[in-house]
Amino acid sequence: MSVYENIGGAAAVDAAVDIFYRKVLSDDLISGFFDSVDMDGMRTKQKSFLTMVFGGPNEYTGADMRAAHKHLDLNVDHFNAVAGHLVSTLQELNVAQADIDEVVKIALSVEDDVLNL
Amino acid sequence: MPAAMHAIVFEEQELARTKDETVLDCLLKHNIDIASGCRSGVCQSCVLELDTSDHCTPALTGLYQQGLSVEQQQAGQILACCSKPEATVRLRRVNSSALRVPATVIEKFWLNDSVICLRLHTQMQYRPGQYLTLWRDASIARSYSIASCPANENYLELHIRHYEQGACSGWIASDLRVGDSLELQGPMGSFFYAAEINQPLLLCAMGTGLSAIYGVLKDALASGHTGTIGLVVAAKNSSGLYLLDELRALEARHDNLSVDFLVQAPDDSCEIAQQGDVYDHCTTQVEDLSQRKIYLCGGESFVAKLRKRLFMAGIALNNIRADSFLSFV
Repeated sequence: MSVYENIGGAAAVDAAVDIFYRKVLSDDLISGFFDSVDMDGMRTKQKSFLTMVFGGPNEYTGADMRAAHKHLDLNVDHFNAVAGHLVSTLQELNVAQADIDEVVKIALSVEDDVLNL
Repeated sequence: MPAAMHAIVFEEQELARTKDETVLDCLLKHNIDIASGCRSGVCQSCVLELDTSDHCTPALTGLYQQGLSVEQQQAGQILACCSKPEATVRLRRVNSSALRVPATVIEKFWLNDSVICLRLHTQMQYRPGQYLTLWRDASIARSYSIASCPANENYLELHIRHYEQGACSGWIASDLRVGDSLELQGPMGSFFYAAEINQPLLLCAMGTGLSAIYGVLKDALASGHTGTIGLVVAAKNSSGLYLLDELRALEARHDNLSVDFLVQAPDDSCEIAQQGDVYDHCTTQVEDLSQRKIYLCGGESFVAKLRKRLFMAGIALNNIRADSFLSFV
């Protein structure tokens, strides 16, 4: 079973997205990237992100990730902040440490693309 | 000869267009006389339709149809302000009689120093809380929310915020008379009463957002809603409030309704309103907040801020219906 299936698939994404969204909106370092009037649209983007980082079905390519984040001028602090909120969201949902580690691995695998390094 | 890439063929006239230009911007650039309003896909004043008289199936990518009825979408109608076609398209105006209905003014009076109540006779069918676009003439259109409830009233009621230089509100204030006719397009939007009969509700209005909220409230009560209804009416100061007596009377008649008037600026002359911050009030003073179906209506920044505060307080976005008033260009 993939980590996505392990932690509960689409239902896990649904449970996680609001927790994660509230965390990033409360973090002054990164809230600006997530603070949109179109909250429904932003929430959908985050569901896509979580699906991908949980190892679920997605159509992102490295090029997509680069293009999507290029204009945001991100640095490693931003990336680490998001990864931190991802981990604490999963901890709140009582996800097994082994599965959390897997998710972090997937997140790290896209770090260079997200930061356009 | 085939038209250039990304061009618009408008009523047989070929108009050059760049890939990133909206249909509306392109038409205006070529001095085509076309109505427009909010430029945000809300008022639907810029609706056009695809010309399929040459029987070619047009490319639909980049054409914006959100908010249009199923029939309109199937008829190939699009909103020019939001459409960026990815191929050449042939477009024409829509026959306005297909989109608009006539209305006659039956009453016009001031609700306070800055808000006009306009009552109209019209055949338009609607749900209280939806909005419509009112046409002053062929080119000036503005959207307003519907405050009336057909179960209670046989007229359609709008609350118009008066602006001195307002192209539409100025005309409504000074020139429009009882007996005059105008045209209405709509109804539009999904901001109407749709809840379980016993679910607690929170209705929150800022300024003339009370128009839609008043409609939703009357609809809920007329439908026999039994759940608790908390109505919060907010304004910057007490001169921005209106319908105070009517809402207190409704509160007296319905055990499940409680009404709070909130103003930002303290005002000893207004006994009925409390001084308070509407964002703090809605997130901390409402019982069973997480069980409630929440309706918010008012200006853009108020709606965005309150929605976000409610979300941060733990409310699911799904529980919140929001109707945001935006400014017209």
